[in-house]
Amino acid sequence: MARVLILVAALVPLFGQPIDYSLFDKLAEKAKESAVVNLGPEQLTLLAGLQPKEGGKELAELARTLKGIQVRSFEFDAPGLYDPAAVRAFGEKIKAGGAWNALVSVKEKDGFTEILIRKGADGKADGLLILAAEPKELTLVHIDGVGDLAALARLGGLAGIPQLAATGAAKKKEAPRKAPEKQEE
Amino acid sequence: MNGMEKFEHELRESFRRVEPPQGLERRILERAGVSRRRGRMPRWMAAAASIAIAGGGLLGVMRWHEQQMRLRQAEQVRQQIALTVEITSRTLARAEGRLRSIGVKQIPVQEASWREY
Amino acid sequence: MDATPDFAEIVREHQGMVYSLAWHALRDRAAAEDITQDVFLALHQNLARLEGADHIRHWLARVASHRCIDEIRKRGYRRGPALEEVREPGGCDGDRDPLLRRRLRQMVASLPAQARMMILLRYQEEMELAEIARVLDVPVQTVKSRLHRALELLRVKMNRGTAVVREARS
Repeated sequence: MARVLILVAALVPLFGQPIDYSLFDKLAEKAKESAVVNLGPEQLTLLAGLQPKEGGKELAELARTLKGIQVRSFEFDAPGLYDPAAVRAFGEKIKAGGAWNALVSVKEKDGFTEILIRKGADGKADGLLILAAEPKELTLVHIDGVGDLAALARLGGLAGIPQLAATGAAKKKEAPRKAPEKQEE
Repeated sequence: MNGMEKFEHELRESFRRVEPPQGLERRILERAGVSRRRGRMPRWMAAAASIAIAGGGLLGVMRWHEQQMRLRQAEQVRQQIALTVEITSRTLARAEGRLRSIGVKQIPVQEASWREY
Repeated sequence: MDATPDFAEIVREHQGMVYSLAWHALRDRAAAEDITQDVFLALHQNLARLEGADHIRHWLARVASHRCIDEIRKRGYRRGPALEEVREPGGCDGDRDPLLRRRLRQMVASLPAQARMMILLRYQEEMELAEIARVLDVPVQTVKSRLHRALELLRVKMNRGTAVVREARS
């Protein structure tokens, strides 16, 4: 099922301009299932209080580095309940602002995935945005404060947080190198 | 039993439930951030509460409650991050599948030059 | 309205169902555990919306089945050869052949994703056709026809193997 994951990044500056997520907020009403995460810097610093048996220092350091995590994940009953062109335009608008660039951009007939990186004033990457649109799902993940997936991968395994898969930084899943077969009649 | 009934019997026998791996329940509960001792205070917390009450009086109790609240809040944050990682993993796995089909091995974990696929 | 059920108890009660569905569908322990964990994590996020033991069981079967189907299709997943290539089961007696059930599991594991799950929901979980239809979001008639077709194919292969053995003995 396509999931609409929308990152709520209303507080994230885009060279001073906040990102407008009202397009995605409206879609929440049409979704069959949704998952929302809104974590600001104050909440993230609380992570340091978990004091796991291992990796406490690393967790505290990451908690200081991360400035915000916002996730919106929407799953719809049927295709056509959101306009992929509008979502694509949203991504283009973010890139047009100048601060964000596409690290990965995969376009297909029935969807697309983009991973955007934001560069801060000091030239270092300090924001990561993943936008994935499929016919019945829309996904947005926005991580503020870090500019690559390695930081998120480092969280995996600390304090019971699962490993980030599919990046090579965590456990590898062996899969045959062939396109999925169309087996259904 | 006729032929089909025999065959269905074999199917039922072939697909009996299998035993889940050792520790699966514990791993699931850890990922979900659920303590198995629901409703019961861990020993160290009970000990801390006793010491706070005996040695620190009301102030100690208040500090202990604050600590409990911070721990609960931290746990909620942990669960939200766990959800983020789970959703990100799923999204990236699908993206990697698409990239693999066009010859790209994996999404770069570290920042890389920007490329359009 | 029921009180929110205890998540740990739900895991204890239903992990066998979810894991077995994933294991029989994918024939891969690691993948089966991954899916099982993901399904229960999703349950944890949605538990407040579910009402009653039956609803929870149905929800778990539904989510597990859809995850398995996605995984099978995503990886072009085939454990074992295609149905046409499966070696016919042999042995001295078709009813007590120790390999027969193993072959049957391999044959089912090479069915298309949805048909595979239909077989598992029917014969592992003893679900009626209407419930299978609700779990998989397909019409009941689709379940009837696909299940019937899959069973006939499997039976023909199994019987052909037994007939060959009987001819060899006579």
